[in-house]
Amino acid sequence: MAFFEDRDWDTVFEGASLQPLEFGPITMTTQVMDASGTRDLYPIHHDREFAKANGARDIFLNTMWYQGLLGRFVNEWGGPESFIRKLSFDMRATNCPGDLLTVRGTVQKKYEQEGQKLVDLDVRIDNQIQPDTVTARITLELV
Amino acid sequence: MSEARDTSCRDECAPHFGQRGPSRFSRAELNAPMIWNFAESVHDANPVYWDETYAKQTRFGRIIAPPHSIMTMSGGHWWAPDYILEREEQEIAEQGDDPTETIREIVAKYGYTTATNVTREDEFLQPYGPGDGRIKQTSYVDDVSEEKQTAVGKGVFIITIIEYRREVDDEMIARARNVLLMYDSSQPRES
Repeated sequence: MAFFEDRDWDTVFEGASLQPLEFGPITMTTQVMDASGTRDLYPIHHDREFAKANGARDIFLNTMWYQGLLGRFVNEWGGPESFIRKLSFDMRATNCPGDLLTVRGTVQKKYEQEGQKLVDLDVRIDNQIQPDTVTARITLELV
Repeated sequence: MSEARDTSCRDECAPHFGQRGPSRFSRAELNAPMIWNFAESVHDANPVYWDETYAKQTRFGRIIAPPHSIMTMSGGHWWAPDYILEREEQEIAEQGDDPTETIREIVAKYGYTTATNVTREDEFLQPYGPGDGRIKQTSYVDDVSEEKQTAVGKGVFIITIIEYRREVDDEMIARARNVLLMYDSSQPRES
């Protein structure tokens, strides 16, 4: 089972693609699990009237949820003992109920530093409307 | 045309660079349900978050929190009784001035009062999980840019470093670098 296998460092090469991940479509329940799981009770993530009055398309997924999804995506590729060392990302467009997300990633760089086996990953989240709603740079340590 | 000044906004802020402000603790001690709620929200099946037997034989040796859940795990209250909030505020006040606040006040004096976050980069140094106690958060301003004309108005970029430590041994588990633009929204760039 994939969740229990760590990726062999020797088989990783720069330019390789990670297995894409689909999530969704996003529902009201996804939004509730987001608010509860990340403890973010700001109304823009659960109150549709509030969100629309503030210029948003609808309620939308929050920063910490993206941290969770990005983490899941790279750890499912790297294996349970892989460990995120660096994470930064830009949120360029919102993801709302009804949207279907696709996470894609590529290996940008493979190197060793201070005894750690590292890969720099370029990771993007698309939805059915547009690509690159989220663009992330992640350094993952493999075993 | 603004008049020439002897000192810049950055010069005034500089004595406060690198000075740590008061520490704040997370609401709760790290525990498995917090980790499961986070993993549940994105359907993350990683056994090092869920399966104690499995996690014990990994290099972590125990269930850990997703390192990238640090913002969630270090969070404070959305609501709490006044007597709890007052107690916490007093504990923070007793630790002395917050240099980050001082810098915000200096920057505001120059008219830069509207905030927008530009970048955040997280670095994860050590695993953390149940048994580590609460998460302690301390921050300092690393630098303030010279005044710059941006698309939304003239302003400065404040670079803050946030350090996260586990309560049990005060070991640093994560560090974030945050870039905040403080600008004067009353005077957008002239076209």
